[in-house]
Amino acid sequence: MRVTFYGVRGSFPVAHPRVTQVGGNTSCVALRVDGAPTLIFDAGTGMRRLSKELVHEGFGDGAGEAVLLTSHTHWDHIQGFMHFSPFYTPGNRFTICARADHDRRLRQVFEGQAARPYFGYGLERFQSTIAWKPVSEGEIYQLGPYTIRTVRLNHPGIAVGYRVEHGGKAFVYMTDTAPYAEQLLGEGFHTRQPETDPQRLELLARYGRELEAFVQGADVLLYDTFFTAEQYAENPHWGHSTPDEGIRLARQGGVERLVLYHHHPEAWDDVLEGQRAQHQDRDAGSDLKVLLARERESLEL
Amino acid sequence: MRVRFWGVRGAFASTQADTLRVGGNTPCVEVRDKHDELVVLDAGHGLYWLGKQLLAGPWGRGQGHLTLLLSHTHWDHIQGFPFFVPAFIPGNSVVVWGPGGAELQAVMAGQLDPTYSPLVSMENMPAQIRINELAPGQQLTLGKLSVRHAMLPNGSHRTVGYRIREGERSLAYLPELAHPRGAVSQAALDLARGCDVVIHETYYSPEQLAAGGASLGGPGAPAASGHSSFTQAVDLALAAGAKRLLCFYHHPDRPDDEVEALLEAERARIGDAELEVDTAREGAEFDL
Repeated sequence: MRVTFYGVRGSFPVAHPRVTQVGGNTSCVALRVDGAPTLIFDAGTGMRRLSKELVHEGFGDGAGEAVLLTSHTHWDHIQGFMHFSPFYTPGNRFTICARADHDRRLRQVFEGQAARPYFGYGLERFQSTIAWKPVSEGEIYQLGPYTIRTVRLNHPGIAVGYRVEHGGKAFVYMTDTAPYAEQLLGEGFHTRQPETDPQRLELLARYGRELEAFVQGADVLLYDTFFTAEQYAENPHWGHSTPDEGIRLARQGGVERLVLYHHHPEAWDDVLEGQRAQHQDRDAGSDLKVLLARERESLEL
Repeated sequence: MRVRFWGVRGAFASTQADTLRVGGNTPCVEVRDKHDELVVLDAGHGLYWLGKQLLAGPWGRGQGHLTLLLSHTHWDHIQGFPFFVPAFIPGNSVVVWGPGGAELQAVMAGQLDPTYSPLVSMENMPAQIRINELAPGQQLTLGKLSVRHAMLPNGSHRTVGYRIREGERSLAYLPELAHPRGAVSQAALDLARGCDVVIHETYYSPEQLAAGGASLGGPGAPAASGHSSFTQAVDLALAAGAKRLLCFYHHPDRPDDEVEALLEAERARIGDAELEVDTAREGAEFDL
């Protein structure tokens, strides 16, 4: 399988000359296997660029099939959705997955960002066939030739991590999440409030162990490294992590390649490159390769 | 009055390097009177960068105040609001004015809904935020700035255009509108008449407009309804007797070189007419 990055930035798209090497679009990654449906992780602004490639891969003729796996529906993970041209081409088939109680609610979530008063038109303009598939954490789904597992991530409103297995290879998409360390995040608004209650501390530890098990033996772990260690220490309640935690998680799981992802809007190109090199040399050891998610670059698994 | 552009791109941020000389953030314009009274036009992605800059002054101490004038509530005009860092400092104050009739308070709060945002509710932005709907014909006095507005048709929706005056100087802000075929919008003309500077959207090239528009998502996706071409913006500015036109709200797929070429074509078309034709550029600042 081939994994390609179309949007690697967190929070909002960044139009700035100091991010053009790594890229300024919000989250979107595609996984392609010849003859199988394309998997799309998140629908940030990078999805518009992806759509321009997919129209040349059958989706322009209505012969495309793809599965959208959404980590969660905060804006930076869905703001490219309405600008994805294959949705408007009859014949294309999509399965749209996100964490939701039922399929009607899932459609409502995406409808809620379309049409008045926020947008010019709604989902009624879509011409393709769409199946809405609510997912929950801790499940296993068989989608086409892919085995897809889910895990709960530590983020306000709760996000979902995905592990895709195909042809003996495993790819893990894990954003947005704070380490299961200081604070357990869930529904509602969070302020900075480290856990002290023994039951919640036990829950934190349990989710942390589940995450460690989830990444075991993965070939590639793509991980939320929005924060530096200093930034994280100030904001453990934002639901984002660091390269240090990514390296710890990857090493304990025997992961081959760690991809730093969901970059901070003001993480400039030269700073990110420097941090990657430093983490590789100082922290990762020789068994783990640390990479930077850069737009338009691909990894082969 | 002093004007600075923080976001000049239409519909969707453009992050490609070949668009950054003009700029890739969605709409946001800073306007100040001679005493530094701050008015912000639209809250696209550019608002984040304006907010960062404000922190160095009174805004960093919770003593800032501004008025935000919204043209309408499509995403590209409000999506910067949750990322306006000064709004998280108690004591700062933001007064929002925008189109009436759609429960503006609820619309602005809707983008903070927990489904879409970790902020959950406007209450979690600790600055004082007041949201007001414009009444038809309502005029505002903000420091030395006098503001009037008009509703402008733009395809399937309507947007607010503003005219801002300080003393003898006037600025028109027309970020989204469509002109009737073969004519200029009378409402836009009224706002722009005799202005020193007209900021007018130019989402489409003349060819794209003639072809019925160009989609954002590539082949197959619907084209945005409404919008103006470079030629229409120039014709409006000429008809209004304006001194200077700044093209604005560029299509996300329009590289800098193409913007320059379209400007050059318009300058050639109008010959000796007394109108300066240029583009709004992010980071550019000027007095009028």
